[in-house]
Amino acid sequence: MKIKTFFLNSIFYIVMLAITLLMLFPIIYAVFGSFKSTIEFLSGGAKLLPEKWEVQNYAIAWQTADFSTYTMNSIKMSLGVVLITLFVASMGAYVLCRSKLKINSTILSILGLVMFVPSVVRIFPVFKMIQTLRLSNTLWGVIIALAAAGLPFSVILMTSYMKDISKELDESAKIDGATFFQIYLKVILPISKPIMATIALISFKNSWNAYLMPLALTLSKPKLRPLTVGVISLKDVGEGISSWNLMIAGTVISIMPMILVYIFMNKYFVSGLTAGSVKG
Amino acid sequence: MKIKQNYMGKDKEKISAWIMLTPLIIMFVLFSVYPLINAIVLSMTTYDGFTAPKFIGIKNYIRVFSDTSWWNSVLNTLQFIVLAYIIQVPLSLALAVLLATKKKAVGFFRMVIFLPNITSTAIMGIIFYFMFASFNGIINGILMKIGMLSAPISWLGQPSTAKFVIMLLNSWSQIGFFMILFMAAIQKIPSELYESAQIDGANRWKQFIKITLPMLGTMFPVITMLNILNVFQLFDSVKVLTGGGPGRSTFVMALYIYEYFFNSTGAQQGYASALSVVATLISACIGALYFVLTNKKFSQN
Repeated sequence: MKIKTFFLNSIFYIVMLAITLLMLFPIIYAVFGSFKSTIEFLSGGAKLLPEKWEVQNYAIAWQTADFSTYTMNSIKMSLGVVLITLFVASMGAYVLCRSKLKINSTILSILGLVMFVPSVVRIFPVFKMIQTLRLSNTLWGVIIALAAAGLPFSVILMTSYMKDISKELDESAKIDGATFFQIYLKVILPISKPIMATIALISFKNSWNAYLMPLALTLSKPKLRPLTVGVISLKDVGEGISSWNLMIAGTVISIMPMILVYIFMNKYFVSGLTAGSVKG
Repeated sequence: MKIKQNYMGKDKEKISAWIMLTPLIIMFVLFSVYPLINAIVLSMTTYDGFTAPKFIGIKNYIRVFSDTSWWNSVLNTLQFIVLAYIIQVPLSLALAVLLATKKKAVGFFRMVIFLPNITSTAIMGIIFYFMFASFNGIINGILMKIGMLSAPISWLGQPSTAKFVIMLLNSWSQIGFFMILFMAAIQKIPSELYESAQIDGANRWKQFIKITLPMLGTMFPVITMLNILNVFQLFDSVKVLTGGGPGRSTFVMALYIYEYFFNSTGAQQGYASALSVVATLISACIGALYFVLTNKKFSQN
């Protein structure tokens, strides 16, 4: 019996290690590849490690290929989306589950329906709307468009969390003379901290990784591009292949911050995602 | 007097509720409702983004029906939905069952398998593009070194292998997500069920078939829906990996629509809007079909 468990355990760990390697391979490949010279990277072969470590790739990408601008844009964009989402969604969700407005359930079901609409459908009207609002020359255009796109999901997730908060808390605050808004600020928000953290993380991740929306909104505005759009735009420039090493350095600059955030806040990511779909 | 005060309190509450709801409603109307209405209006016009839209009735829709490239993109999307489902669901379920145990280092494996889900599919598309490049990609390099290939394969240059790479990237990033969902459901199964099954002498496989699978029942509809939604939005990876090529063989719905909206040479926003409306209807149909099917199942139980 003991031999059998040992045998099964070994198989388990061998399989899992193999899967781990497969999952990490593209990322390891990118990290090592970003230190290869263009010539080495283009000559191909089966080697993962660079022969000569070219740290310069990063310096060039950062300075001459404008990656510092892209990075700043990504940071501003994602933080902006997080702040707007938290502000708008928490108030909205509070009203939707605590007020006695007749329209509440209608709004909730329309929000749910909209999630089924493919995002490419609204991309052009949104593009036009941003122009009409005169936001197309600032990052705010992308920020507001991205925040709006993520709102249905955030509001639904937050509403289902706030529904479970005991109504007795509201009642006793009301007896103490708190207004509708004060109950939100002093009772509901503090209790909703975990779901706020989860939604902050998810919307940060979604905007950091967003491609379609910022791509369409910055087509003629290279200075406003976030990392995703900026890195990929190098693929279609004239020099093409000669900037492969810059592109791969760019991919690492783009994915590493997210991976670090994930490693340190892994729990919130996982709990948030499961909360959203197990309940929904 | 007291009653009056109460009424006033209620009115006040309503006013503050509306004020707090306003930002949400404004953003929702401007960026979700209006775009849909706008798409419907534009779909009945010729519009290229420069000259004023001209009303042409349902001509765009007639054109949609005879546009074979469009229906090919629809077919590709449906094909990807099915492929993604049959690849990702069994694999993620197997991983969830294996990693829901209390073995050592299980948490580490879980973290690694979920990690791809937090990376950008567009950026990972570039990395996969390099990995699968025909002459200098590492995949061909490795396969040739171990003797499985004698000449490099043009992975992204043929429809079937290009679709394979697209699905590989999609599965790589989705499996961890579905695994986490399955695991959440597995952890909700009361452990007494397994204990009594063990006493009855049921082996692991039997426990899986008789307890785990039936108890997971409610998770499958959720995952089916997420799978459909996810593949309907498939855009980043296809755009970056193949751009729809070779030819138009790997075009998916979202990419096809995008190209008509934003093509630098001769965009046709009117026609693209008609395509958008059709795409919305298709996804609504699949959504409705899904609800009908799952509701039937539930009422039968």
